[in-house]
Amino acid sequence: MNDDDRFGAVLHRAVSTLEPPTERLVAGAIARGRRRRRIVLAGELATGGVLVAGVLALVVALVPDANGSRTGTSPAGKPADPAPAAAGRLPMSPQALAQTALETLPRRGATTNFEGSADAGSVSTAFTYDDGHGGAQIVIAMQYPVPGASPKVHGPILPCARGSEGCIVLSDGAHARTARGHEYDDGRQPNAAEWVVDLVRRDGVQVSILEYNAPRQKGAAISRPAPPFTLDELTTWANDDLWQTTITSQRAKAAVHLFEPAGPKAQLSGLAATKSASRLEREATDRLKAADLARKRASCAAAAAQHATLPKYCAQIN
Amino acid sequence: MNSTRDGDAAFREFASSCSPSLFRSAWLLTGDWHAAEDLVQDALSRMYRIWGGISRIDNPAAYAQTVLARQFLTVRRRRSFGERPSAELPDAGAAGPDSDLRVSLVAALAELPKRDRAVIVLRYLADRSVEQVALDLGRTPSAIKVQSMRALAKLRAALGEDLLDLAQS
Repeated sequence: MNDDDRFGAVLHRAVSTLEPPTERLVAGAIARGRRRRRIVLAGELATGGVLVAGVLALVVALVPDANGSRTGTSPAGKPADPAPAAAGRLPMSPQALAQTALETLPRRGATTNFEGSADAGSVSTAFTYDDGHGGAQIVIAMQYPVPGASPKVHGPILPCARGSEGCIVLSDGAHARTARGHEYDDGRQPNAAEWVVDLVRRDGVQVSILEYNAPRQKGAAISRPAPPFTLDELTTWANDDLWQTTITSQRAKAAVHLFEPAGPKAQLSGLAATKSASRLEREATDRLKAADLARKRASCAAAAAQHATLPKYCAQIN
Repeated sequence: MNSTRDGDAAFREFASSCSPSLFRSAWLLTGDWHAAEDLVQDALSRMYRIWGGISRIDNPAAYAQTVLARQFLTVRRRRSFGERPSAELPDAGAAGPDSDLRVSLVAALAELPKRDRAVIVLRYLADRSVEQVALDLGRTPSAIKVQSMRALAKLRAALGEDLLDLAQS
């Protein structure tokens, strides 16, 4: 036996008695694999222009895993972006941020009304999420250091002072501050909740997620007693490794269907303003109709998959 | 639907059979039980995604080892986002001489660069040839030979020559 063989024998012997939890590993791998397939499928459909904006988002969010949850059972976390930052990568776009949100939602639900914007060192998106208990606005914002750009940090959230309320240091060194607040501090609509997590990772990237118990942040009737996700769920969500500051061009293209990002607002007056308002109203109505149709289609698909009795409207929408 | 179920059953069988060897490689690579589980799941999930075209791959189990090693090298390991209380500690194998051996080996491997660790695990645990490892990692055979010799020398320095005698004890 030469040295190579002897060393090989040592390695084999050292690990031969390790017994991994095979069943859990396999179940988790399948769950993650299904998720990977969905992501690829979503990208292919989007670039093929098969589905209209919003509907695809809904479908992606509604396709369940075998166990009804969104991903695997890894005890160590969730998949990271496999590609390190490198030449050819693009800054995270509002649409890709929304796509990431769909892929990492703590629980499945319908998602509509996407919007978002980006600036040097910051990107954000907002959408309405409905898990069947009422629409809720979700806002996600990422801020990250960019050479030459001034950071737009909303309030001091680092470091967590010892014992500071709602602020925790996670095992990976990220600092997270959570709060259950209200949309209006002056007492208007005291039941209008705003729950938030601000998380700063060790690499200086800040991920903030806000959620409301109304389909829009302002001016909408309260639709549910509380926002949909717990603060723990928000914290876990904000700490997902899929929140990356750069993305591949393929990922940027795959997400571009979700919405047009907000650009500089033109100043309108007179007839132009009236026309613009009228157009926005029509578009809003169309979005609501599309969301309603998408929701019904998803319900029909779910009922069909479970061999349940189809609601009457299923015959009319297909 | 049936083909999906059949595919899942076949994949489950494949994954169950190669999980132990993948996990042992992952454990030597990462030196951490949970990180090893994570790496194995990651590699297997990638296998799952391509499972429909798996017939084009000669040896899926060997390919899974390659995927695992590449993932180890390319993926910035994800951050654990919180302590997870567990009712039972993972079984890291029985205590005894082999347990000491494991601890010493993992500590010594942790001192090596990640690429050297991958070479050691592929060469000596997965029993790959130099040429196969070179293909797996996208290097030349001569580079793998040099890397392998250098890594072994470092391990010997860290563990002592006596360690190799354990193989024959």
